[in-house]
Amino acid sequence: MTQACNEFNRGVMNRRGLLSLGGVGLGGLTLDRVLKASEANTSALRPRAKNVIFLHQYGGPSHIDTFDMKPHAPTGIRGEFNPIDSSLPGVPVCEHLPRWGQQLHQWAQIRSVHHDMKNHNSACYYSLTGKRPPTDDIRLRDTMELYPAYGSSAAKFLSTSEGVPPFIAFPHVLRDGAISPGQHASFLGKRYDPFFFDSDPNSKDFGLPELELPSSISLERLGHRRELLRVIDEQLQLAEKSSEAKGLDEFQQQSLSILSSPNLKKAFDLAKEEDALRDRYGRTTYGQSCLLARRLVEAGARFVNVYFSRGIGGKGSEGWDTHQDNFKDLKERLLPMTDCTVPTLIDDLDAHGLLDETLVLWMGEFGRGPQIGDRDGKGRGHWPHCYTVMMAGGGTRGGAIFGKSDERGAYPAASPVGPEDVSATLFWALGIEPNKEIRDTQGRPLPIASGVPIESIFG
Amino acid sequence: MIQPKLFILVLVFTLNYGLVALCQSPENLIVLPEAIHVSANHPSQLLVYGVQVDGSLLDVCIRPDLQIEVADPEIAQVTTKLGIEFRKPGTTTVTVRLGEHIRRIEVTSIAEMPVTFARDISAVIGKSGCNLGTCHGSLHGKAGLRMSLRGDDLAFDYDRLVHEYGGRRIDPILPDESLLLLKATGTISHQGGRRFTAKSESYRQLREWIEQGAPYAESPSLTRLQVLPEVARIDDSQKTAKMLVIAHFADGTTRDVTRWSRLETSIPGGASIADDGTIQVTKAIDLSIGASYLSGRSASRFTFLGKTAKIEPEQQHGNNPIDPLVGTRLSQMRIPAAPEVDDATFLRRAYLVAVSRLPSSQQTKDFLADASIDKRERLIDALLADHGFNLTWSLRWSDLLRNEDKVMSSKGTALFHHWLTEQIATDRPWNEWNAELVRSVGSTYDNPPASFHRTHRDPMTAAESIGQVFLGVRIQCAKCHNHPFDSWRQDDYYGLSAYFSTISRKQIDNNPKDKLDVHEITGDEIISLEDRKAEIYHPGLSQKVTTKPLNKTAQSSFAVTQSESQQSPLDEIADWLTHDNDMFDRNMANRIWFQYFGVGIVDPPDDMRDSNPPSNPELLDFLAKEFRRSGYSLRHLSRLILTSKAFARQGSLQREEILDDSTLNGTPLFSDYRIRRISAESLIDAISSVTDIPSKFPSANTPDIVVNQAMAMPGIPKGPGFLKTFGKPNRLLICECERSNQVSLVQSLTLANGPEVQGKITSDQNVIAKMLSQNVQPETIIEEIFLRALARAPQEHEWIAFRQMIASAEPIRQVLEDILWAVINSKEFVMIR
Repeated sequence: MTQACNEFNRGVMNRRGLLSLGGVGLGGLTLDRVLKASEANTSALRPRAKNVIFLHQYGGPSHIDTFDMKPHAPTGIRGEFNPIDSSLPGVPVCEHLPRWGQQLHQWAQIRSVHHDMKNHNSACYYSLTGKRPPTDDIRLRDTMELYPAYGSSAAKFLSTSEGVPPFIAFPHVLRDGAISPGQHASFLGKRYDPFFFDSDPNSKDFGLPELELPSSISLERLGHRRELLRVIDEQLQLAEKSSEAKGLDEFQQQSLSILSSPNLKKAFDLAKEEDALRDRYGRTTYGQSCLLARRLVEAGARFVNVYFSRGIGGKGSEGWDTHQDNFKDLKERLLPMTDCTVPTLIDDLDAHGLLDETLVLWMGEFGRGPQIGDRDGKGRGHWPHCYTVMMAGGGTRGGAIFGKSDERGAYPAASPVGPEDVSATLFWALGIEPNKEIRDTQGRPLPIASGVPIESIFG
Repeated sequence: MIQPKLFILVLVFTLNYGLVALCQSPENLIVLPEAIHVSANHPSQLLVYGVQVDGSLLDVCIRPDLQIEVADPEIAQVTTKLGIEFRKPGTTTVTVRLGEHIRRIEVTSIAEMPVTFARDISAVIGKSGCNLGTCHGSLHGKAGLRMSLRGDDLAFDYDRLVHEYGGRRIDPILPDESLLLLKATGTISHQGGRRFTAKSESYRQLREWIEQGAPYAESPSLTRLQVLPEVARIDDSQKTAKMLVIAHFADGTTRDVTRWSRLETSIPGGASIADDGTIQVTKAIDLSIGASYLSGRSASRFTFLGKTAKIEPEQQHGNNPIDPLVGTRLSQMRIPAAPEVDDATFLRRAYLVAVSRLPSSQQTKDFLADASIDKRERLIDALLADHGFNLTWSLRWSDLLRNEDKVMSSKGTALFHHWLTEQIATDRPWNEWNAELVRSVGSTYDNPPASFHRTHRDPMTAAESIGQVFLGVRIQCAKCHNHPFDSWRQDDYYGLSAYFSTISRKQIDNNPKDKLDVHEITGDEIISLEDRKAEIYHPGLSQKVTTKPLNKTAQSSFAVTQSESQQSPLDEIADWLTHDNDMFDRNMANRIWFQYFGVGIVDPPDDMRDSNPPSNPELLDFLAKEFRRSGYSLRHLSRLILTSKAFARQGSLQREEILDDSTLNGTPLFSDYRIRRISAESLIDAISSVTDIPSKFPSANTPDIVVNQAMAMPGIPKGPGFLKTFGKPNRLLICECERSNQVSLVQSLTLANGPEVQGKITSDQNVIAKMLSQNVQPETIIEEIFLRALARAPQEHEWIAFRQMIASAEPIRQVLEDILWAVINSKEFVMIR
């Protein structure tokens, strides 16, 4: 049996799901039935979190140089950085994350995440979907056979707010040579694709042209257009006759209310925030993206993916792939930016009363190897065998530490978990059964997540 | 000698259903199975159905006037639930009487047979769900016990249950203490819960087997799994019906294995099925019920009819042979057909499905003004001769054959697209050019059909495409294990893959930008065949196997030696695929129908299997035969379909009106025409033609090659944009589903406020600007926009709104832009209807 079927075998799908399986694939469902399916999250699970902000760190941040330091390991492993005390007694943090350190009691850590994908694209897909890719292909192709992004599954099963897309992703398309899979709805269908944009929230004239009516179209004129549209649609009343036309009509109403209502557009107007707060987030693409994420959640978005960088690192893509000069790059660029932005996001969510209902997830596609000496002798290589995932808010128990790595940070020493389990944890926290069934292009029933939720890090 | 006594059992039941059924006297009586030949310890059920005038069935098993007699009650007796229980070996006759109808069946029982592992025990395990992929059938098993998925490998399972861990799972001395039974009954902790109770028949059989020392014991192999009835339309007075599953074995015996089969319905939640085969529904529905028992698969089709009054077949069928086939099915299903559409709607629909563009305003005017009786036929003929028809089909096949720039290079994409367009343009016999695709080798630049082996880069991918694209069957599951819902086995998968195992590929001038990206090939590629035996590693058998075509009925039969002929393996498979191959004919006929209706007779069109049957089997058979008879002429079949009444019916109106009882849960019976969104390419081309502002579509890797018609684009665009937003596929899958006609929020925003559409509406070169500069009256401009976009003139209530706007203080150009915007955003424009 090959890898393609591992999911099927690992699946924790319920038996009823399998029994009902003889039949039609998703393509056989009418839109009406799909719509009904999307409403049918009748799960008895109590949601811990209402929203998720996923801060994805492409390139693979070093766990040993951040949260899972090994000060007692040999020089060639422990690295240049010193641990400092954090707000969590007995749990030190890297000296270059002092602000985050002071907030560590608000975070849950999972220190024993591991998998076996050594290439960025395949590991990235794993981290964005919780689904093991069919091959560890350096340029894994982005096909509809692959799993949907977390936010797409969430959009399918969660209730949504009027005029605000449930799943929003920005400000980069992740790619490493080829577009990394896992950033869209894939076989769930286009209606669950993220609302995506790649304009820079840190630029002066940041805004979304699709959301901004051209200057020649006043709200009054849009009103006229809407009225004309209503008159023409009245002629055949297709929305009454066809479920697809009805679906189109609903999206049309939604997009027109987005265009005419200030709600979502306002969220994009970062100038509404005080300069001091904007400064605290950091005047970087990442910093202002995180600020925007808070504003979007506030406006009603349910799942927001903020991509730290468009690529893995090098060539100006600014990711975490520190094969060379690991310590200099971390100390001068990556950690300061992170230490500026992420704690601010948590404080800001808290200040707006959103932290309890918003789960913040911080992780990359893997960690970095314990042995220093990659490439220029000062780097760390890819390391999927053990790394740390950070979570805050959304019902997590601040200060919880799940699992542990060995003395070199090389392999889990206790409670190993995989991206499947991180995935199950996310859905579980949102009140969606991890074994909720979705169907791929072949009509095969699959669970949205095939791992086991890590319930112990929740309060 | 004992005289056989006449034993009469008059069945008395409480009347638990309406009198309607009682009052109807059936035309005919069916008793199933037609004969019984079992071992004595196996009871059988009987089914008794009354057949009504229209062929629909009434379950009459519980009618008080039903009489059943067994000629020799010492051999067999009838239980209250119409079960036949045998008392001793022998042959006798069962007579069933209802009113004047009498049916006799012969029943025979032979000596009792011992419980065997291969037959009885694995059936118990299968029925209990122990060997499913989510349980012990998973790759790693569960909790230390691994079994083969759905009982694929009986010897393996036997070894695990009986010998593994020193045989701890069974205890012949104290059978009830066997771990196997303790776990299955939930007596001790079992993650899978209780599978059956200690009082069940499953338990009894397992226990008996263990007590006998758990022998493997050979038993006759299963030769056929039969479902009864195979097809049934159940009268609307009944919401329950019953089916039987009969296993036929190599020794000539049969068994009623209904309770040992896994029964699954094609519509999840559409019906509940009891162990004894009783199907219960809550509303009118058309279901396929798949049965699996040991290695056998079969499916039965039940239609529970709606309340709609019986409908006479349409009076006039004209001379299109499709009409009576659709009409008969509709009357069988008691579904009224929608009326015919008006000329304007017909014209627009025909243009969109056949040539993927809108008629011009002049073409619309001419067509509407034409009073001749055959104008629709002449329109269809004109469209079939139009280049847009060629582009429509070469686009679809470029999708299915994965013609995309990265693997094919921009030059290769264009050459392959051009070749495909040529095949359509000359109406070359479909099977001929399909065969050429599969068998071609050489340079993909000099010989574009060889591109099939450039886009399908390994034997498995090629085999999957042969299955899904050319035959409409999905064999992917059989890569890892025998297909759970179809009859495809690993042998089929690897046997088919083996044909492609000797292909070798050589790149010429390959210079990918990204050296790490093996998916990018920038120059020509030469496809050739290595001179060696075509064989491939079969992981299930752990050995190499030779070629074997897909064949449902034949048992595994790999070619033992190289075939005598000098044919290459590619020639062999191409011939097999495209000559005298019913699967091929049916799939292609269905795909052609799918193009024109947006839904297949089998739907999804590339998922043909017993448990996903055609909604109108006679129609599909006819189209397939007609396709072959016509020499595989796409134009012939297209003309037949496009001139049928089914194609000319009004949009989904009827279906929604009678949603509650007669939709048969969405099964497409073509009583009305399915309204759906225009595909990505046609939509942007339509917006271009309405506004007079064409778009530009540069090819992905060579941006200086530009076409201004999305339908004519050979490859796929690089990066996001209008086409991707509206679901143009990336051509990385062989699945029809990769093209999306779904609607989404981003699509609505793109139409309402996207820069591309906005640009066309406001351009000073567009239809409004041009006509205004020629001093054309605003009303005339509006009429032109309507004719172009909707193939109709504005109606009175629309004119009222428009005239108000024109009379307002707003600049006239602005008013016209607003109307143009509203037209482009209207459902009427965006949908094929």
